[in-house]
Amino acid sequence: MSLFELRDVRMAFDGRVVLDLPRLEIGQGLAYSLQGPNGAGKSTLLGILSFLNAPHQGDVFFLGEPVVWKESFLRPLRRQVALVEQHPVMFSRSVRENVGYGLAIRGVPRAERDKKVDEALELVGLAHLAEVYAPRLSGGETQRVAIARALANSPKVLLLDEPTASVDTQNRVVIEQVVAELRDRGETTIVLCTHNRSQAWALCPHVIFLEDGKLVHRSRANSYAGIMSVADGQGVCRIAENFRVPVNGCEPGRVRISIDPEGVRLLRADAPGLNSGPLAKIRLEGDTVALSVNLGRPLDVQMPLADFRATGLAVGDLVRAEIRPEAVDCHPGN
Amino acid sequence: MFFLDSLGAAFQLLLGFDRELLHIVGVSLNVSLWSTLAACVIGVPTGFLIGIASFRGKQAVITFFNTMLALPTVVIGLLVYSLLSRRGVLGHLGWLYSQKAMIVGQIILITPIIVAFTIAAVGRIDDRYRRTALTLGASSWQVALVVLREARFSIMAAIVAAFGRVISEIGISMMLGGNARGFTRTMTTAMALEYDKGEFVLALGLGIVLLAISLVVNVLLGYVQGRTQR
Repeated sequence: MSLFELRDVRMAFDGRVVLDLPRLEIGQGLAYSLQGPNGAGKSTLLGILSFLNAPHQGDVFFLGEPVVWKESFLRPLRRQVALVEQHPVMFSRSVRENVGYGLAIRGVPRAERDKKVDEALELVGLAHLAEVYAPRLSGGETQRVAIARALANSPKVLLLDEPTASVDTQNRVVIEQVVAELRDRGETTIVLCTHNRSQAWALCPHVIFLEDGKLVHRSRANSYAGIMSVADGQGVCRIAENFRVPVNGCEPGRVRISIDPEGVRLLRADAPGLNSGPLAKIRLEGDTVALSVNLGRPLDVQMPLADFRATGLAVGDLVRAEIRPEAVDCHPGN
Repeated sequence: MFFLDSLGAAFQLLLGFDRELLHIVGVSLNVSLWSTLAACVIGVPTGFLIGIASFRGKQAVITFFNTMLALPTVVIGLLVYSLLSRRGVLGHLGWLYSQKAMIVGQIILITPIIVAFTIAAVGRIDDRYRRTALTLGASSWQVALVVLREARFSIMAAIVAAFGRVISEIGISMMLGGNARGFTRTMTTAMALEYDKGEFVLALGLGIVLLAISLVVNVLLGYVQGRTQR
């Protein structure tokens, strides 16, 4: 049985449709990345999944039961779902009281509450800050405590809205480890909203990709249909006239390939040629930079900020993409 | 020179714990504390409910309380006088020219201050507190408590401001209390009387006490805030 099932869900503001989902299912114990450009409807969807906002149209089912958007009905549902916002707020109390808030309002006895709070703080590596006044924490620590506060209540679903968008590398690594551990345990359904595609792929086997409020079936970015051939012992997939990708271990014929954006190196090119094209987009995503090169088809590339600075590239520059065969997955017969 | 002489004599009065001065301070504190307490009981829940709820005409209600902030003390004095005078609706209570009458007038004066400032305090609380409490499973009542807790220092500041307003007002105390020595003479009415008589010593002494009370209240508020945000 699906954990969530959304049927014909629509949200519109001022006549503009921001979410239009004929059908979306979210399975129990699975990890999903929620991706899409800004304004694609990701936060709106999280609002519905956290039972904070009712859809303007359509039906939502939770564990097979239709959701009735009335306060008395929603509270037991909200207690099974935890939302960690991109910029979470701490109640003006200690970290311990913040993390234990959900347990306290559920009437969990003090001793048991303290034990669960300690476990949750241990998980995010902040047990030593239990007695600190929570609003004094740094941004990264606040994000981690917010995750601990959500997890202390043992939710069935953890909704994370860009948890690493505004934290430093150290905090990002810890948050990613926590998400990976939860995913591996398989007890909590995770919906991770992120712009960082490499993070999404590393942490979540399933993808919900939204574009203009609509679900787009895209298992990975940089997914292309092409034709495999072998030249000089090296398999090559032809995507477009000047876009050819070295591929290992794939039979000649029609294939679908996907390229890891982190497995591509960009070099400045002097003249147009194979796998060369103008740099169309540059976007900062935390401490990484997402770029898009027009090779007849857009190729997304991701690199650390420091590496990007070293390249000295700017939008419009002619670049050549060096694609390692190891960064390419091949799916025959598509 | 004259001022310094008066100031010196005022300090002598204070250090000598002058009975009349202490009595006047006692009346002022008694009236102000009771009126502030009653205004809190009425004003904080009213302001909180208006601030947190969504209803038709909310803006009109807020505008009403903001307008009430400018209500002159003499108007309140006249209104309460007309109610409590022998021919008034509440004349049978016999409260006119008593501390009770002063307290009633001062409640009318400062309740709008507490209501308006509480509405503003609640309105300033980031909506994420409400959403966070909801997603953690809080009921509407528990969400309201979270918002109240986050707004507590602003509400306390509103109460302090209201206390400062009553302890320093003169119109209501004079019109409804009558400045009767030993009964309804407050610091402000005593200062006005002493000024009329050309006697500055007691007036200055009371002025110093008034400022000291204000200082103590604000230091206490700062201390409580500091303790909480340890």
